[in-house]
Amino acid sequence: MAAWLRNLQRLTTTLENGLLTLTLASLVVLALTQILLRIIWQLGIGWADPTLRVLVLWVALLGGLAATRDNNHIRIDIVSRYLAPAWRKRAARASDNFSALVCAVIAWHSARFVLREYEDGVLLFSSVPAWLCESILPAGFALMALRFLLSAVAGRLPETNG
Amino acid sequence: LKIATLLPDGTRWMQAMRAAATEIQSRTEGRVELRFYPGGVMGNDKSVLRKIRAGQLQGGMITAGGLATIAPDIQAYSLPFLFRSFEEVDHVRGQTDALLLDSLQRRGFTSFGLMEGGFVYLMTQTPVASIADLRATKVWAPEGDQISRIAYDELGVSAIPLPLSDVLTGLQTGLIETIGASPVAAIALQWHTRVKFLTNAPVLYLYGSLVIQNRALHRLERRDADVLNQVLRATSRQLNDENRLDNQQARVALGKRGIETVTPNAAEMMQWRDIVNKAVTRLADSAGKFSSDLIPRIQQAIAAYRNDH
Amino acid sequence: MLLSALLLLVLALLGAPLFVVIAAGALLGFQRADIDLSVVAIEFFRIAEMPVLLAIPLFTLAGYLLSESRAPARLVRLTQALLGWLPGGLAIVSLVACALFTAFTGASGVTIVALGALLYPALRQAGYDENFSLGLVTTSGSLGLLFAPALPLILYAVIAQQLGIGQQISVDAMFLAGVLPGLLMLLLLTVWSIWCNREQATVRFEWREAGDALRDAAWEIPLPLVVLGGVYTGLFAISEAAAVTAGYVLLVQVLIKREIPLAQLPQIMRQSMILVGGILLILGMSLASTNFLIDAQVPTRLFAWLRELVHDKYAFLILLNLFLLLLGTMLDIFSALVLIVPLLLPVAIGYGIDPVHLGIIFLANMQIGYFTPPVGMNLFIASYRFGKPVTRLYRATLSWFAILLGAVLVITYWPWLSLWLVRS
Ligand code: NA
Ligand code: NA
Repeated sequence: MAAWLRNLQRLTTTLENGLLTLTLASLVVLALTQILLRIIWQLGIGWADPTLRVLVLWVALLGGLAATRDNNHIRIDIVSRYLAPAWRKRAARASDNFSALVCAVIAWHSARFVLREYEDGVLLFSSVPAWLCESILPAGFALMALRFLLSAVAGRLPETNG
Repeated sequence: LKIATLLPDGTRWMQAMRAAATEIQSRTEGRVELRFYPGGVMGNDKSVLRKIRAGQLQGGMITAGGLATIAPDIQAYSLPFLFRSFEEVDHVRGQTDALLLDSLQRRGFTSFGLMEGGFVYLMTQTPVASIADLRATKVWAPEGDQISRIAYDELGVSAIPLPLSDVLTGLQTGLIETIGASPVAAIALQWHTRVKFLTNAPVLYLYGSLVIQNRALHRLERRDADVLNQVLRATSRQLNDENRLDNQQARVALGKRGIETVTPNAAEMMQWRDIVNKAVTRLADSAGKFSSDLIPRIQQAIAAYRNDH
Repeated sequence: MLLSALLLLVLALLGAPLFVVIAAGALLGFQRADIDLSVVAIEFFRIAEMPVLLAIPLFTLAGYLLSESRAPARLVRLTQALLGWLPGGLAIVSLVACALFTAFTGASGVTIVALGALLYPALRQAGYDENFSLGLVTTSGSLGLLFAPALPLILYAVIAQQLGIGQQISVDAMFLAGVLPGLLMLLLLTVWSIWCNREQATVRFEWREAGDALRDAAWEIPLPLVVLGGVYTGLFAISEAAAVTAGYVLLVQVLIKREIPLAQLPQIMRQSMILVGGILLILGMSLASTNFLIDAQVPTRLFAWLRELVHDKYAFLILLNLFLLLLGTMLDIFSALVLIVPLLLPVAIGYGIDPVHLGIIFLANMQIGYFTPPVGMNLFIASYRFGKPVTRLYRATLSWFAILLGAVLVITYWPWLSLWLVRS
């Protein structure tokens, strides 16, 4: 693999990991703050719940992206484990190409969806534009497509178990 | 035409809608078929509107709060403590319904008339007659509902936001003690089994509408669109009227179930309204939410009615 | 149509990620029905509209932190000290805990992620057989759906009530009706657990060891008390309980006991979110595929076909069981309730089946649908969480499935069990 590609991959990996950790940390902190406010001072924050749910969506996609990178998705690979190594490699390549295609299609249509919401000026809650929260959909799936493609071209990383 | 709704299948509402669909189908000789997706299987109001924009659905029965994301004006009647009786509602709606429906039409949706959902009352586990009483209980705020949140803010009540599905459990475990609901909804969702008192002052007016995207209607032949319009308007009106009766009967049923009515005295009522009026002003002012003359027009109509009676 | 379905199946068997296979199915379906494909994105976005899902990342994080610490070892020591005299003691504790927990989480896979992850290593450490342990935690993921205040019970009552069929079906009636059938399932699995481990070495109860074990696990003992107690007394909602758990575990394991160095925290966070991402991707895509089925009115048509087929009560009940099992593997429990109950209830009443009893039959079937091979959702979640192939889980859960299937049959053909408490 070309050096610049490897550098790019390292950079995005660091960025993705940072973003994932940050998202989860804000999720935990916000959820705890909300409870403390409610129980101790009897206060409710109106925007806390919708924000938390959007954070769940972000964690889902960033986590899914990390799972793609580690080649650690849920599969029913009943057949492939009985194949000879050479054929197993081919099967993996076919499945990665297919996955890249499906993720790319989803990314494209998510982008259309987000663009429509942007044009219509849809608000998610109080004054937060919906497209901002939804933008993780096309971004996440596009990056997943890229990772699958990379894995199809350059071969899979060894499976790591989470 | 595919139409989604949160209302469950088998209810009188859905039966009326299905009857309307059958009539439309036979009168247009099968050229127009309405297919319903009840019970929220297509998601909440926001998801339904998204799917309408994407073209999977063509219409939906949507609450005023949901429709407000298309045209904010539609939510004008849901200001807290705006109306005091159904007579006031009828008087005002006669004058301004058309304005509200117009605002939807301009944003690409045809409504077949507003359908009443009734008045929301506070239902509580301890008697609530004053603002102080209310502040002492744990109040439920419908999650994501801005109007009720601002109103509770102004009252100095810290409401607990919960989704609809958690309300009954919340009442049972004591997470919340006070809810706002229409009598019909309280009985249908079984919330009435967990409250003991009802504060006799309409908090806000609930309504919704069956809307279909104009784009879908333009694809129909002229005569078919006319039939559709005629039948759905009649059905909407019928459901609007029936629901009034349902709510009145539900009020009686709540009384029979031993739920006591608490009536705040005149001084208390004044205090409620003063505080909430501030909230209304805040809401109406916030970023030009409503068309400038709409709220004053409604308020004038109410004032005129109160003068005459 | 058939060709693309076959192709998808082959790709799935060759190891394409499950979420990709489900997504591809949904995309193909919508494409054929001439529906804009951005509906898939709209459906996926509904993940951000479901409050209960918030519990998944929080409980997962807490579970990973606990399993990285020495907490499982301490808890095993404690149960051995307290219940070591009883064969299958820890298994029974696990069953009861999962049932109580699922009553609140509604079998959304949260139980496996939150409790199973803790119980599985504990069971293994306590010397339980791998197959047995896997079977137990996977099965327990939906055990408890029939106990109050599980949301499906409430939802059934609400839907049935609005059909206006004369009889009053209250939430309380459903809560009462669920008790005995739920206990029957729990009892059968308890007996099975004791039977499987009848040759397990037992230890005598000793006050001293019990005291030491209690002191050793002093920081972990409050956790289940706070979570279950907090939820049952109404101090928190379930997602809040998840947040409290995550916060408490962070506090204890990282700051107080310091079994997890702070520097290791980001790595654990990342690992746990890989699991969350994997599960939620599948969930989001199955929202889309379910939406396609609903759009194409598949469940409705299936039911209409079933209705044509039978003419007496018992044939109806048998077919009903089959239909509901199939449905349970296809749809989530909430879509199934709102779609099918309005169609099913009037027909069932026509055959003289009590509506409350029908509700229990419905939910009991849905419950085992969650781990019906080959496509029950919880099988995948467990396979992922414990890093075992799905085929392994098919084998591990088979006997458990058979037992609960038996329970479902008893529940179906013996209405007394569901109705006795309601009527007395
Ligand atoms: Na599903
Ligand atoms: Na299922």
